[in-house]
Amino acid sequence: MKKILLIGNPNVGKSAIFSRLTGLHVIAANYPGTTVEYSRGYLRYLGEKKEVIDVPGTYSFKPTSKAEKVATEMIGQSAADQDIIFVNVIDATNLERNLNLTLQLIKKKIPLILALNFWDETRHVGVLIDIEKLESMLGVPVVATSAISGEGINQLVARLEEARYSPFDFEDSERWMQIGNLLAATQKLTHRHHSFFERIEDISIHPLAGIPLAIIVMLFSFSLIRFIGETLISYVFEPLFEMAWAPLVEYLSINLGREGLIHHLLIGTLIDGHFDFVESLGLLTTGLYVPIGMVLPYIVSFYFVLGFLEDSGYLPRLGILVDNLMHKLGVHGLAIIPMLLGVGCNVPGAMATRMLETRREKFIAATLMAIAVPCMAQTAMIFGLVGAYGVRALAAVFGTLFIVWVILGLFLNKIVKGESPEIFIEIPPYRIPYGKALLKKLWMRIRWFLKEAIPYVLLGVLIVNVMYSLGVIEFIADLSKPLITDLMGLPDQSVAAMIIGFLRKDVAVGMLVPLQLTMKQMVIASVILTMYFPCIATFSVLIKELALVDMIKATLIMLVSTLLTGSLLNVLL
Amino acid sequence: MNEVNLIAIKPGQEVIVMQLGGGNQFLEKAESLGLRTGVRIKKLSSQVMRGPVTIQIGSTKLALGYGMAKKILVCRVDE
Repeated sequence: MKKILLIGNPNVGKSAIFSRLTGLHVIAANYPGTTVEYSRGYLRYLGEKKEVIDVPGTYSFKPTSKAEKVATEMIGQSAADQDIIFVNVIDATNLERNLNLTLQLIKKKIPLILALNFWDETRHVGVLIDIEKLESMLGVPVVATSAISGEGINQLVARLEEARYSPFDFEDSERWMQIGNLLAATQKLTHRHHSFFERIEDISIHPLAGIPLAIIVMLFSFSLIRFIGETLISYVFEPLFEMAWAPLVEYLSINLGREGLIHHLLIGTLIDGHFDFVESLGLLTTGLYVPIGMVLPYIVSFYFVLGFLEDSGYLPRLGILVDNLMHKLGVHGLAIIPMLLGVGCNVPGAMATRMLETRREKFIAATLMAIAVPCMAQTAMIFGLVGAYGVRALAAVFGTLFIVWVILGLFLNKIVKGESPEIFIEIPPYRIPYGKALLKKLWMRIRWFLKEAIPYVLLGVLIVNVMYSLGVIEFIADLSKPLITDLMGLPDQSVAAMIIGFLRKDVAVGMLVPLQLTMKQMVIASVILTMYFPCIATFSVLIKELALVDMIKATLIMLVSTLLTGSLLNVLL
Repeated sequence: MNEVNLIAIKPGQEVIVMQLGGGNQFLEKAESLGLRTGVRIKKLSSQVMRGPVTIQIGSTKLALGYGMAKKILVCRVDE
């Protein structure tokens, strides 16, 4: 045995088991299709390092989405290798459907071991499974696990070596009959009462009650994000910067003589004789304050709330409720998940479009997200800076983006060729999010943000300084004057923000501050910065996901819709 | 026994699937999710304006589009 592959239906907890086995953390959530790309890690096993691979979930070996295709290909390649064992992760509360994949795996003649996950839940839902009987009937080891609490993981590891070919023989056409026999012999269902969750279930997908509930959930989530973000800024991050960091920077500034090249790079331009955390554009001022002081608090609050929504199982239900509306935009309801992930960061949002089936849907979803969904880094800056102009300014920015999202979707639905299939998904059960898992996931995302954002922010700040001193910005500003100034009514200097927006949208929004924009200009500039182009990180993911031709099309759509929206706003506002 | 499609029955009703229609991809995915002829399913809800229909098969819950549901013929279970 040199390699271990975790396979199973979507949303059975493979990623949670992967995290337990390897100590590496991968994002897990309560909806089918969270894992769209395989992850690799290592397990210490009898003093040796064994590779463990978390394969995206699949219902069968006839893939219907990119994520399932990844899974089918991985399993196909590995089946020939004698040294690979397969851990088939099963949702024990849903044995019948899960065994369907197990029997297909058995047909592939591969060394198998079964992990009956969510074991702790079987008691609550009234399912009794005779594990020993199942083990003897299938002829492969069967272990009960609860990946979230860690129960059964040691036993799973201890029995890995026992993985073997199943002697279970059957005609493939009789698969469901065999499953029926297995169930009859090993599973007992006991009567249970209508649980609290089933009641919410009834409401949340009820055609009339579901929509008000969805609106309440969304409004509550966004208020909570805003509240936690604001609180963190006012009581933690701002005091930290003002009281601890500012004196140090001031001290350094004085010692550098308040001028010179190094002062300019580290501290930046002084405004009325003092440095300013947003406007100075120095590495130690703006370079740290924007990502940590302004954006990080919102990253924390957004991912805290998102994690809760993800793990509860509500998101697919939201997808069902909005399915109708989303079809008008050319995608089905589940596309709401990449959009919501995009509100955090467009990069995972773009990756998540893999859960959609066709090229057309992926194209529409990715283009809509890249154009009209600002990431949380940018949103945090807009909250902080545009918010200073009042709630009306904020409403104008997000209202415009929403209208663009809808109109562009209607338009793409008309012109993009191909097919958008109907929704056809499994609805996961509601689960109470597990605190520790939530915090781990949050920490992972924060770490990812810090690692991805800070270097780019610093680079962006550095580039602005270099470009200003070389006169490059003046030059481009002159060139783009007809578009930026004449059409959209923005000062030509705002082109500097557009250039930096390729790197980081948060820094770009910050660069608007010294321009002393009117409310109207600030609204237009914020909308334009969201729409005109995705940041470089998103762009590179999109090229990979959409392929070059589609990406060029998407880029053209971005430029045209930016110009249209910018000039329209200039006329209308 | 009258066969009707999945749209025609009320939420809460339990029925037996008699016939599944649709493209190959749909049929394959339906089969792998346990939606096949002869199984007993319960309709949970249907969204307004030709929205998706939700059903339960054993402990699996599924949502499927209006057009798909229309091509699924079912037969009422006699109480």
